[in-house]
Amino acid sequence: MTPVLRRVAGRARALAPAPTGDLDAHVVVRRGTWTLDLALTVPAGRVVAVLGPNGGGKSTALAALAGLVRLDAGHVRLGDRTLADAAADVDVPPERRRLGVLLQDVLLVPHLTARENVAFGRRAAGEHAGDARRRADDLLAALAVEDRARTRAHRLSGGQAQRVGLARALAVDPAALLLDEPFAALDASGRTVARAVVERHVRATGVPAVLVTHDLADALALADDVVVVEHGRAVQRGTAHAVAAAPATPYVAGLVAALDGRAPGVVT
Amino acid sequence: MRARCAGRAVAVAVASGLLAALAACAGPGAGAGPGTGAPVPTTTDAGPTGTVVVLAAASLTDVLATVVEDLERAHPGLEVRTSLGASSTLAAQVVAGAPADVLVTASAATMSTVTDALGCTPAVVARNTLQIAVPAGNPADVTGLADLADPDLTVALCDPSAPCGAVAAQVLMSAGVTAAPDTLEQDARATLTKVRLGEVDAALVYRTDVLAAGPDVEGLDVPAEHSVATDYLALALPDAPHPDAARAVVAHLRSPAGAAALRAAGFGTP
Amino acid sequence: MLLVPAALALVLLLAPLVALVAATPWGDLGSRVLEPAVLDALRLSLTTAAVSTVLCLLVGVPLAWVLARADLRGRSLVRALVTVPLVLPPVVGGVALLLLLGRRAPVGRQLEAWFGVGVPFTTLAVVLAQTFVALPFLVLAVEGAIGGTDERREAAAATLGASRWYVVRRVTLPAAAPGIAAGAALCFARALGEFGATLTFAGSFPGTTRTMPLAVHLALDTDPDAAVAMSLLLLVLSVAVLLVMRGRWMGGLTGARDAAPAGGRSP
Repeated sequence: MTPVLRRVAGRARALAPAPTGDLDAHVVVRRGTWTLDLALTVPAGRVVAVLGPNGGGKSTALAALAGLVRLDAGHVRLGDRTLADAAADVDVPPERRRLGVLLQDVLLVPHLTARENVAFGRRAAGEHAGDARRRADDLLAALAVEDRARTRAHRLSGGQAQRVGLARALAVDPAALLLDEPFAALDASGRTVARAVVERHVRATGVPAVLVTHDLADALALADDVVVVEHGRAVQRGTAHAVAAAPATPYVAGLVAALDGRAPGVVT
Repeated sequence: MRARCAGRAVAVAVASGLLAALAACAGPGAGAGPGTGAPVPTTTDAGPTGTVVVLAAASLTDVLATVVEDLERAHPGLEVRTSLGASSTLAAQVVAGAPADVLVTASAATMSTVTDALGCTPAVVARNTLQIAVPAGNPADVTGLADLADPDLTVALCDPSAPCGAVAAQVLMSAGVTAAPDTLEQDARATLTKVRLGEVDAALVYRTDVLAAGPDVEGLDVPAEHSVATDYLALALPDAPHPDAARAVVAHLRSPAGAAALRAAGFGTP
Repeated sequence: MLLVPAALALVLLLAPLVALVAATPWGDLGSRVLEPAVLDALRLSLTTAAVSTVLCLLVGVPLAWVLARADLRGRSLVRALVTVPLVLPPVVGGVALLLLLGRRAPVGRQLEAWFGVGVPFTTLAVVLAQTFVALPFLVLAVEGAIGGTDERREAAAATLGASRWYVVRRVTLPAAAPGIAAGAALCFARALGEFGATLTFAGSFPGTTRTMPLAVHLALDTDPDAAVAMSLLLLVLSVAVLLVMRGRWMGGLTGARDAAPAGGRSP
């Protein structure tokens, strides 16, 4: 091996799974007169669904957990690590939080292929291209989009892009999962596959997961607990079934009614 | 080639050989001017009036200001507009039909492109010689033409295709010096600017330019045996919109007052 | 209603070029263009413009990124300063370069003391003059291109653990690549056409500092046909550069337009 090759090989390292633990957060974000003020606890290995109408603050809460929106007050702690603490002026930048984030708009890197997008985080951490690609291919296969591995992201359909985005978030062995409407663009069968992949990942790795959705079916299928967020505040908490059984607001009641109108087989 | 244009030239044509040459010179302007056939050129007529356009070599910039002032004082109805540039550019403009009255070039060769095309003979109005120009204080201790060959000195010359560059080449050849220039500038003024800014140690430019540059530039004479004179030629154009005024301008340049102004600017006069 | 002034604009832009083509001495064009002096000037122009473009890319892209993305106080002031060379007559730029790097200038004197040679009258001076006048074109084009990319994509990439530098390299710059290419083409074309600053700062010596525009200007006085032939060559070169780059640019733009996969967005 030439010295150059050895040096390259020496630099390429495998990405170790991030140390995880309970997610404990209190996020306060002010936007003029509008305020998000949400406390959220997700035990390791559990899924908490954040439910709510558009504009209610659930996506902002997720962005704040990811480090994309600065806290005006409150904190984000994950296991032993403090990711943000407004009082102590701690704000770990997103690239050092070791989270698996899927934003609502997915936002893949358009000129990279699906596979390169999934391998992106591991390559950024210095992992060897071959290792990162194998991991990417496994995840794409698990989400049934392996046939699109070589397709550039800007040529993917909405549903395909969403699955690639989910694979990309899972690929970095994150310390926590933050998923914003991860199934919205999927058809029924794709949705079932994707939910199963997320559930398996959470149980296998023991990471806490936050699932932002406006679909009660997602919550019932995946979440241990549900927080309903309206006007920037939590208006109801409980297990998914408890919330579905006793809606505290007209919005939740509407979700339940919409769900009842669907094929019962969707609810597990 | 001491006569002026077309019919007017008859007045001063004395040698029969010259007369023959002038016969071939009858250009499109022949016989057109109201002064045609007048026996003696004069500037003290009732006086030319109107706006006369003078195209002149850039090296005449400063002296022309004086000349124009004198002219306009002598002829209250006369307004002189000057356009200064490289002789070749001006000559090309004239050949292309620019509405000008007088052309003054710093090169006989350039003037001949006009006279060949229009068939006229210009008059010598001034002579210029080259000097070695150095920045004030002569920081590189330049003493003569031989220093222009020193590769350690920064030297500017006019490009050989420019009149001042052609003369410089003659001077250098006469002195047996192979110069090592760092830049070959478009014209004498551009060359002098490099000296004035102190970016070059020496340059060969016209004596008049050195004089006009003031205290920033010093001039070292080229030894007389290597010196080459450049003739400045003036021509009242045959198609001049203001032929009287055009002749008046040329005549003034050749008058004692004009010669005095030229000499004050460093030119030699015929 | 707008067609008349639009046509007039086109005529204003194209008529002089048509006149140039019409005046071209086609008969001996080949021999004129292949003259050693012309080839020297052409070689010098192409190499200096290429080097200037690379230099502009190396320093201009980072500056464009800072202007487009960084949290920088006085950013609009910096942007205004960057555009100054655009509105400055190039000759003034040449004078300014002399005042900085001339042998009487503090910096230039120091350089001459260290390296034994001054910057003026060297090919380096040509490159610096070209860079000075061409850099703003690149910076503005690239800043626009980077500003036009979706910043949220970079944020999403950051959440995957990518450092800022990695995101710039793998996300931002590739996305802005069409704009960077267009900026580089403009930059190259501007460098190729640079005249005033070069003449003032670098002088004019065959093979060292006499680029095509300087050669054209000089030939205009002595051999107008040669000047026209060289001008035509310059024109063809510039148009070729712009056409090649424009082809890429359009391709890239189409790609970028297809790039947004998912739909709406809630706050």
